[in-house]
Amino acid sequence: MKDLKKEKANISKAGLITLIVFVVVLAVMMTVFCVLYAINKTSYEESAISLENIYQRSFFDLVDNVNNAEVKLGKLVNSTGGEYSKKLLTEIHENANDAQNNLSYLPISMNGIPETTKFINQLSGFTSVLASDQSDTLSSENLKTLKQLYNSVSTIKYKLNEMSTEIMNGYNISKHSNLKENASFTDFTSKIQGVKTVDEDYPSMIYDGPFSDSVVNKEIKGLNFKEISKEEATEIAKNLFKKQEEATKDVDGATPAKSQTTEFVGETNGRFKTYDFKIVLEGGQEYYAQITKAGGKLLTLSSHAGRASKTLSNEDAIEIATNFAKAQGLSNMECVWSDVVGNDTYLNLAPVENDIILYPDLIKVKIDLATGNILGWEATSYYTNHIERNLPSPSYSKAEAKAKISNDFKIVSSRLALSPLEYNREVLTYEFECEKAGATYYFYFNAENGNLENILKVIKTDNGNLLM
Amino acid sequence: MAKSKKFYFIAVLMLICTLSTFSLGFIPNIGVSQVEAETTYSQNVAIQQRLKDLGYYSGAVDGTLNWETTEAIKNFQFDYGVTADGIVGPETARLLGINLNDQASNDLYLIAKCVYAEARGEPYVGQVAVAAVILNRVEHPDFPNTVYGVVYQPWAFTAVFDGQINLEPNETAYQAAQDALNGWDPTYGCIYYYNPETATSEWIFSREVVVTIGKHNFAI
Repeated sequence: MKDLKKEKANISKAGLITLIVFVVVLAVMMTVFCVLYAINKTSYEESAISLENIYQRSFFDLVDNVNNAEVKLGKLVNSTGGEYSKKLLTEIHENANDAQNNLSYLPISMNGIPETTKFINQLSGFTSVLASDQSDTLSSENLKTLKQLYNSVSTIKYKLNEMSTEIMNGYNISKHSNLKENASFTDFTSKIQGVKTVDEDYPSMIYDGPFSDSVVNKEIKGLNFKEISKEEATEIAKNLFKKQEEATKDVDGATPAKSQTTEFVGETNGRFKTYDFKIVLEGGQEYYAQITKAGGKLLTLSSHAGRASKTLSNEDAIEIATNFAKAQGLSNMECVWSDVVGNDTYLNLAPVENDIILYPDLIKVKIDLATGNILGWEATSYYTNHIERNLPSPSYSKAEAKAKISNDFKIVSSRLALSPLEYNREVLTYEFECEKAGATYYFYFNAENGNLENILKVIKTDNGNLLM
Repeated sequence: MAKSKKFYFIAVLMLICTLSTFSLGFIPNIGVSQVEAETTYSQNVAIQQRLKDLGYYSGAVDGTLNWETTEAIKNFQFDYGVTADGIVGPETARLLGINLNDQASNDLYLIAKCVYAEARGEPYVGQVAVAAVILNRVEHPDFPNTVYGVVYQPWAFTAVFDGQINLEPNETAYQAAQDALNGWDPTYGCIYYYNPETATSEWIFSREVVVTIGKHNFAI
């Protein structure tokens, strides 16, 4: 009986202690929990605020730049040309550039951002082309476009300023820009919708310059061939690596693999229309080959190899690449540039016609220096540009062009070259490879009037050589 | 008695466990910082090649800073009077004649990171295609005009907002980025891609699909 009582007391004592421990632990846990939660919440709120601040700053900078561009466009359409117009054009170009930069900091999910970006980019490109134009007055056509631009910019300015008021009244950009939160693009109030609808009224800016539509949608000139069937394309794909074998047969040390399986995987229906194949070589290496529907030409080949030790020289690779080009029916290709990255070499091939090198028609070939396997082939430039050209014979002499190069340069080689200039222009030039203080430069002089068209400098980087 | 004590003990233990698990979720991610390599893959290749040319290194030029490479760097640093720590900092890089920072390698690195974060499970050509989309956006009027502008455009890439962009890319991603920078574009000018199985935006389905590679639809 006594024992039982004692035991009861013991139990309640033990229970009391446990209860105290329990309460203390609970209190400690709750405190820790609350403190951590508070810290976390503060840091979360802080980063949310600083994100919103960046968005708002970018937005208000954008408003500023658009306002400035609008004022200057207003002056420009009413000015009489000359130096002052040039100055205004340059300043509008700068405002548009800055506005572009501001736009890039705003969430892409905001309505109207891609459209506004395009408009601002083209405004920047168009004004820079006009500013660098030699003529003193603006053509009536350009003036008409500028007037339309002025109207569009005014509309955008009006919409943006309406949105500014809303943001000042507490609209939060980041809260409404989460793609995860809302499956479709979020409405940034009815106002930014307004900016989007301006899109239809954007005047088309017909110019050849940065961001012009003609640069983006470049016409394909070199694929005027009959369309082939999927079966014919499959045959071409199956024979690709036989051509590789032939291309490497005279190269010591090359160990090209044979193809094992060729599988049709789909079609590409964009700028280029192709039949696409997955080719697996003996040993398991995978290739992706795209063969044009027009004419069954190999357009793109993509693969990569692991790192084994190099057995081939760059010259071996050039031999393989030009042989392979021959097997594709391109017999006059010459290697004009090469760049070794790791175990791979990237070769640029260009056709030579009548001793003129045709730079617009480049083909890029990537070769594995360990095996001699062709890892890549990229012929979009070739098939975009290659046509039968009537090249003019030079009316300016090479000696005259040569005399224009400063005596500091040592001329290493020279030749005639058809050079692609910016925005789809081609011009016949004299190319001079020169050296100065250990650096290599390429000069390009127009073969018709002797103008200096371009200078390229070879930059040695950790990835090989770059032309700038 | 033993029974009830045990009961309380277990109850308290369970409570502690539950609470600590619960509160762990709220601990700010202070300790979880990204481990980043001092030098990138392509820089490592350049370092190894340079050390090999100078006779300090005889191993494979594979872009991994293994023990042999580190020893070679140390020997080089000792000979040139730099603190032999085996790390290629600005001073050692200058002596080696290697540029640790140029725009070309910055762009390559960022594209490789984006490719790795967005498409590491995809076939090689699918990775080249993702890299090409980034470069197509740089050229396209609808998007920012630099590689950094395009990749970090808010909400443009999933992997940028969930932080996967900070993972160190592997060699395949580097090669894919390098191919795209050299002009390879299996999509021929596409500026969008999405996984039709997981895409939630209705808007994206309205874009014209040019080609399907792996799990991704590439569109203009």
